[in-house]
Amino acid sequence: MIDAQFFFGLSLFLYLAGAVLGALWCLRPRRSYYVSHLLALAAGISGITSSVPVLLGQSPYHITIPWLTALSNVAPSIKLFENFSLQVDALSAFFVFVISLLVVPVSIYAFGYLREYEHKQSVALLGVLYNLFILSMVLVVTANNALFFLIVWEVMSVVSYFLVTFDHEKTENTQAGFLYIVMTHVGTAFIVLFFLIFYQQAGSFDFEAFRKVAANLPDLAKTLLFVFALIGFGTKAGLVPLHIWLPYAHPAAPSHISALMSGVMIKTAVYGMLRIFFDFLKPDLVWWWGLVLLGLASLSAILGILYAVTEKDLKKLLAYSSVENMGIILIGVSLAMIFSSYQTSTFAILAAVALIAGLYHLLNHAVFKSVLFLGAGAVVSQTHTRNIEALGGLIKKMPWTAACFLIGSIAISALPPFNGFISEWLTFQALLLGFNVPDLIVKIIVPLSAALLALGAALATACFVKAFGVSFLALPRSEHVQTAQEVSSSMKWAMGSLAALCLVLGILPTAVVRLLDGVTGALVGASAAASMGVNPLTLAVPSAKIVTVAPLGLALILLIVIPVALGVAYMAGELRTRRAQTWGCGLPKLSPRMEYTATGFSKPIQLIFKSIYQPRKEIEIETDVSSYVHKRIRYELQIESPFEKYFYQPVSAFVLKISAIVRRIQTGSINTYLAYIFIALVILLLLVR
Amino acid sequence: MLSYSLDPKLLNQLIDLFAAFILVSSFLVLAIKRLYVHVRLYATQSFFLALVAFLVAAFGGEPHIFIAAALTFIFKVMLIPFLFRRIINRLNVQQEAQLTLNVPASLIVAAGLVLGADYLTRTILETNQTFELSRNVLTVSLSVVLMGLFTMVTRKKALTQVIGFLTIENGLFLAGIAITAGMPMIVELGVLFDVLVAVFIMGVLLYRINETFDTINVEKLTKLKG
Repeated sequence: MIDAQFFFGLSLFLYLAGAVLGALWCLRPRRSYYVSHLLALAAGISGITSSVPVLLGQSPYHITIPWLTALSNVAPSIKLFENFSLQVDALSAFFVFVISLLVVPVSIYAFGYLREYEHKQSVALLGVLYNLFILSMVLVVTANNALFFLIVWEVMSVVSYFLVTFDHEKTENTQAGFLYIVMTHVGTAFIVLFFLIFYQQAGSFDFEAFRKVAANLPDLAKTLLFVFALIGFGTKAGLVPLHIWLPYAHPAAPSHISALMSGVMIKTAVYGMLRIFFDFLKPDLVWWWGLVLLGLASLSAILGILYAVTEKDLKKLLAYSSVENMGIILIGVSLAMIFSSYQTSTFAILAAVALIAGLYHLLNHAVFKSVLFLGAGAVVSQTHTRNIEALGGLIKKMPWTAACFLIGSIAISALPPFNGFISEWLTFQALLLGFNVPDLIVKIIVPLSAALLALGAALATACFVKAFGVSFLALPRSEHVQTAQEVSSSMKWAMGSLAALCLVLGILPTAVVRLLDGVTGALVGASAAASMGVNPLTLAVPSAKIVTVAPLGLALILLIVIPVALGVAYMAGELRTRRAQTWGCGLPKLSPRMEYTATGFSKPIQLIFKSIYQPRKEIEIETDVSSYVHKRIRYELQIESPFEKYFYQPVSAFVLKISAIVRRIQTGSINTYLAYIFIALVILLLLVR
Repeated sequence: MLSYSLDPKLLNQLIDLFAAFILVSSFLVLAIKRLYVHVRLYATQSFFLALVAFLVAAFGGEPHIFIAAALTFIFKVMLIPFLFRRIINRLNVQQEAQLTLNVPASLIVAAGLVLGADYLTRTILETNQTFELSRNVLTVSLSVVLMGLFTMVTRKKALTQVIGFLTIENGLFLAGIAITAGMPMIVELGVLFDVLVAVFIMGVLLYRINETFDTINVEKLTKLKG
């Protein structure tokens, strides 16, 4: 029997040691970087070891922080710290597992990725922040006290802010960091409000007390709790319309950090929602809560991918796609909320299915989004550009990276036999289960949501065909690509192992579902694994007509069909390499400039969804001699997010306007300031006397 | 020790007289523009303050105020004015103080302040019947505080603002000894040293301001605003 508790403590200690040693060795940046990442790697492995037993059914364990307890004995006045403890139950263990699972390959990747930052003195800082960042995430998902949760949540936000602005030489990064820190603090403010309301009701910041008081909360408090939790965690989750920071902040960070941010950091918001809605507030769930979340999640799913399709920045595209995937995850969660609100056993099973779908997609997204971010990082480290239009032809120079990126792209496009397919299929089935709900409005919203999800999946495919095709295929589009080489082996192995994981998670869904069932079972109070795993190969969804899918069988069929098809093609002579000119419509010579561009590829989609994109076009034609002879044509296309234009910009303009008015009293003249004091004194004397 | 046989009425009248001198010196600070005169006025005001303290100590039955009176004399009548003269000589500043409000207007406002102070203290007296010393002293001290603040508001030279600040302190000191028959010794000592330290620090700051902007005109400080 593995002592899970010991390994959990060990992993926390190793993260801390990584941060401390990294800081101590800051004068030897390289060594510090290696040591801190090595310790993070060890911590990740130990984290996996600590979480798996709990996922497999071992009872939850509790860890108190000894020195804090000692502190509260010494000074009783700091009673608030007395209950700072960590609890690893199934839900926490699942998130610890996901975090640790990513930390391992990402840490390995980081060894090779150092080259990108070697010229900077602050690589030691990167290692320190990296460890602190992961440590804070692990603590967020295991905290057992609201105050402690808020502290580590804030640490996570601040540390990730430093990581976002790590390349602070670029103004766009500091701007992204500013947007991020503002948005994340707006979110945190709402989370603080949320916990304060709960504190007022429960009289304690302990999660245990929250659970006790949940059943008899007044209606107003319940509604407020839901709204605050939705805004607070929605901001971190990148839920539309609170997502605006995400596409700026995630690409700004170093790529392996982006992988962690998109892979797990935004998922801590899902953790928060699950903890709140299913652990604390489960008896209070109201059907419209889930419906509101379902609406926002569907909107996120579709809008996220729509913006991703037209994006030219490789990492920004991935960040927008994270918005989409968070939407898909939250569709599962919100359905589970709707089902759970009916509080019957039949609905509990449906809730379990929906929640399994959400968590499965969470796990999958963590894996394939990391592959993609790490792949993008590999590309950026070789070409020093994130602009897709400047790439091309990388498949020949970086075959390994290209293969991993391709696998990630297939997975994220929800195509079998990779993992994205299974979880999106499950989410889709869960949506169809929504027809069992008696409320009419749910029956109306659910098919709409299903349609949006299907559309989103199709657009995701288009998006990643573009991302992969334009960056890796065809001829190099700029000199950036000329010097590109395959990345170092640590990076290759990191990406490769994650890509392999995409396949494993895709063809062994029944095993994963059984693992997730423990988590969802504790949350919704019903087990779905028995009905979902018909046999080890086939995954089923329990509904009026049982629907099944057998991904492993599918994979085996593919394994047979593809060689057969290739063999047939080979025999028919179609596979012989022919070298010939591409047909160039009669033009004598084709150059890379004539290649299909990313903008061109996404143009049809952009035209179809013109009303959503609201594109701003600018065409400037410089003519020579006559107006028929064009010397130069400049075409500029800009897509403005309606949320930024119609909500955030007016709000920030309003705040600035008020500030400008208030600023007028701050003249900088001492005499004026003294006059304020004087006038205030005289008025007060006259008023109070 | 001096005899305790002074008629309390006479004592009150004497204190009122000196308080009036203190008030007049505050008016003069507003009326006169020359910096040297300001320093001298401050010394004069402090001298009368020391006298009031002496009277209260000698005839009011509060012997510990003797120390306060002596310290006031040493610090405020001799040391601080001396420091000021040195600063003025060193900085070689222009003698004319610059105003944001001209002299007649300042005097009218100051008169208004005195009236206001009188009005305020009257209500205090109504509510608190057990007052021992005359109300006039309280009026004067409040007026001196307000006028000191007013000096700081209207003058542009940093030096005059320090004078204004010290005047405020004098007003508080007067209120302290005249009304409560002396605050605890430690408080008075503390305040005195505070003032001394404040003068030193302001002196240093004045050098810096002068160095940076070639003037001690605080208007130039607006440049520091972001």
